[in-house]
Amino acid sequence: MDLEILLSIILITGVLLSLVFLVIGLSLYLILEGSRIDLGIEFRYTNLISWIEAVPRMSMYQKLLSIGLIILISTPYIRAITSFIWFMYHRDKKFSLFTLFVIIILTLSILGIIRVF
Amino acid sequence: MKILKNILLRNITEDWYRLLELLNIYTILVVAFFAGLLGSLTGLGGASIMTPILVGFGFPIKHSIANAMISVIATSAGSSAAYVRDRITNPRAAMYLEMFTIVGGIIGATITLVTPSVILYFFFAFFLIAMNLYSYLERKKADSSHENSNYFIDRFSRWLNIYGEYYDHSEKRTIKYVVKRAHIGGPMMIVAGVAAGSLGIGAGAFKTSIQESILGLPTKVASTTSNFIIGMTGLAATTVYISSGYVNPVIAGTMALGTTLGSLVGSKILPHIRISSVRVLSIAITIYIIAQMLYKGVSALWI
Repeated sequence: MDLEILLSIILITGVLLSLVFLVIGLSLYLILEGSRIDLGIEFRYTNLISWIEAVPRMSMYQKLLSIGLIILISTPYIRAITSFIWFMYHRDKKFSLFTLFVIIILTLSILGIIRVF
Repeated sequence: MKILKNILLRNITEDWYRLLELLNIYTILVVAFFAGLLGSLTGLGGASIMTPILVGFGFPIKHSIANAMISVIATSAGSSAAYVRDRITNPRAAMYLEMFTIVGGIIGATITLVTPSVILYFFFAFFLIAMNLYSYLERKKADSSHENSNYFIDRFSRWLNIYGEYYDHSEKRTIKYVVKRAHIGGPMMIVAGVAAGSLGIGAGAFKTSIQESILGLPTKVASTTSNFIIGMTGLAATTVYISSGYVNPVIAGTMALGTTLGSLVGSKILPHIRISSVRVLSIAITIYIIAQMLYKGVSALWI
């Protein structure tokens, strides 16, 4: 399959799936909590992994919203991994290395290992 | 003078609290929707319009930037899927440039976390002025020199060997291109990444300008490839913002939903709107954003 078609499928699936979770999650939030927003809500996950680990312990609307956002955030990451596999399969060393570099930096940042200051 | 300052100060703080009370899920959704719509029409991007409006409501700037960054990923994925499928976007050029923008995105997000909010207002306004000035000057240069298609292809760009072609429906012909000056265009994308990551925006116009003027990509390829890259830069910056505590799933979810829907509607309206109207709208919104951020910055300094 062409890289362009693969990437297009990943992008559209990721964004549509996440929007479904976000719509249901927000509707549930409006029903249960009303339209008020609270900026003081604690969001103390040190990285994306600890956020994912906390999902099972969340209330239903928090769970749906978190799943929607995590899918959304993961979409570019999945497209980077797919591109890397595609370039490796097609023996394109140069672009395999470029995408591998992107994956390594993102993984380190997702794990909270990279900090500039 | 002191009395005048006290009156102004009390009025400003009272107004801010009154405006902040108006903010709820519905108002954020409406603001995000119209920001996404106008951002898609003007090419400014939803987040760069949404943040100044929310800040005008008294929403804390760092919260706005961190949550808007996630909506940038959504609008990028939603709007670039079709262009990638139609082969207008160049994934190879994108993957080379992403190596630089993600580094810039992480640096930019970290800068925002350690920078006082008052400076961020000025930084937002300053960067918007700089980006617009850069794009304007590059466009003028391109107009006067006619094209840079005869530009010598350097050794590094030859090694990269990024090229492509697409069928332009408006010109009714296939347009071929080769990436040039990649050794300059790549590192320049770090600056674009810093801007995007620090302000919670896509900085799409800036990225497009770099690709057009330095890498020599045709406008359509540059803007769609820039759209594609924005999502990856957004992810890099988001990973930093997640650990900051500023991300609120309810707010981020509302923003992502609103801007994505707005940009989808905007892309449907765009072909039916005159270019001159889009230009006027774009200038008006840019002036509003700059004025709003400068006003907030000066007010914050005063208080």
